[in-house]
Amino acid sequence: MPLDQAPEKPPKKGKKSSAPQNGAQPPAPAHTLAPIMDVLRSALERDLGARVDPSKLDGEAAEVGMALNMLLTRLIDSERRKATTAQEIEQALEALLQLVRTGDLSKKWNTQTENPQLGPLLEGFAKVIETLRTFVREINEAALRLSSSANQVLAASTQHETSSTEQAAAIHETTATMEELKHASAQIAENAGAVARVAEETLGAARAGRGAIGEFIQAMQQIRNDGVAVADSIAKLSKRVERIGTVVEVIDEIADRSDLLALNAALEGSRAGEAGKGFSIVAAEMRRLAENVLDSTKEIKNLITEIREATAAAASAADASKAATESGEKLGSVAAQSVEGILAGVQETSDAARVINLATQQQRTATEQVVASMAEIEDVTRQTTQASKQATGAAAELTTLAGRLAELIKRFKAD
Amino acid sequence: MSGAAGTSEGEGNGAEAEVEVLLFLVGPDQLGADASQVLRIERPHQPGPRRSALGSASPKRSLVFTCDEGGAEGALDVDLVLGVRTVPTRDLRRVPPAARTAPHAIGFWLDGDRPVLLIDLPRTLAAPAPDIPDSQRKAT
Repeated sequence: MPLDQAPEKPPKKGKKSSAPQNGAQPPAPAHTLAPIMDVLRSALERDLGARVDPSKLDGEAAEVGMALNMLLTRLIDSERRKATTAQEIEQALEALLQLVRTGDLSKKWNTQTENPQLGPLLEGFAKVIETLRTFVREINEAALRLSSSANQVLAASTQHETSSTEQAAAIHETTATMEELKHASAQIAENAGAVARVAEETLGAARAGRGAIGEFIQAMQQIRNDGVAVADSIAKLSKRVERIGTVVEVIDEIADRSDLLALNAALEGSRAGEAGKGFSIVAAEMRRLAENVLDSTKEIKNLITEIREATAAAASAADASKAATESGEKLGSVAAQSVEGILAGVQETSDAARVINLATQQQRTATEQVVASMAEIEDVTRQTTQASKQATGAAAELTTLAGRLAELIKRFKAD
Repeated sequence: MSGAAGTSEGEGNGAEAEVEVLLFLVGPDQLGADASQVLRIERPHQPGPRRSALGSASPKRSLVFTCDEGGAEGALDVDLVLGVRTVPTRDLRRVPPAARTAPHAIGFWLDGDRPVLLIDLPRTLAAPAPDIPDSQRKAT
């Protein structure tokens, strides 16, 4: 029987409460402690309802009996309070277990207790629960924020991953383009070098051409001078030929007169008959001489005509040669001026080609450096893309965890 | 032959008779005349081509002779005087009357196989120049 349910049995006066039920033992004398001992034995056997009948005791024993009864009464009260406290603790623990089981922190925590010593504990529990409620609210809010932020992080990470992938593709394409540009720059540099060499050779050829044109002009001047001398000689020859023609005309006239004279002499000889035979023979011989002279002068005239035609042709040729040489000199001067212009242009071209060659060399070096940098950038971008993928995975996992956390937090009702 | 002065009469002593013939050219034709008729040979008085009964000529010589009994002189321009040849009379031929179309042509001298027309200078000078066909005018 529990202590708090044990009825209090007030001792009956005049009756020995501690007498054996079977009555085998003789009643104790009034001055003995047997009733007290009986009550104590019952108390030891957890029977707190037994009481000492003081009427059956005398003197101090009666007082001890009464004190014992009071002590037992107080003990019963104490046990009752302990039972109440235990019940309230059990209820509190049950409520805590229920709270933990259901996570419902919204219910009001009962702090009312009859045990003043238990009050602080329940109030402590209430504070803890309130703190937990606050924590749950904050954690719930934080979980929501975390979920939202995780989603944002996931979206940003996905976007970043997409951007990184696109950036990697663009950088890869740029690297390939720069690689092609490097080859093109190398080709351009080689071509520029070839152009510079050709320009240098052209410059040398133009200088040689300038010298050749100078020699050509000198040769033209020499030819013109020679042509003038030839023209003078032809003019002198023409005068000599004219003089010869004049002389031949005189000789021709003399021969013709001689022929005429011989003819008339032959006529006279024929009239003289036999006496004029010798005269006629001389006349015939004279006439034959005159005819020979006329034939010779005719041949000379033909030669003079041929010489006149030849000298005229030579003079015409000399004039044409003179005009041609003068034209050649002018053309040579024009060509010299043109070559000077060409030379200046070729010089500029050669300088420009040299500068271009140098610039293309620098461009090739710079392009190679850019290609190397692009390769490094591509490597870094690849790492960034990989990291971005990992970050996306982590963000996705974080989102999942945030959702999981939110689901867990939803089990706890704070409001 | 009418030019008796140009002949060498040798019939009496049996010698062959001969005559002096002056040979000349008028155009492409070689002609002959009695040398005794010719007084002298001169240069033409006027330069340039001439036309006569003998044809056209670019004369370099002019044959001067006596035209009539009064002693008047005439001149026939010829291209070239070839000379005086002594010709046997047996080599001379008269022109048949039926074939004598030109009055100045009096006979032929056979110079080998080639006949040379012999003319009378006064008659030739008196004869008119023949008309030249249109087809030959440029040639002359």
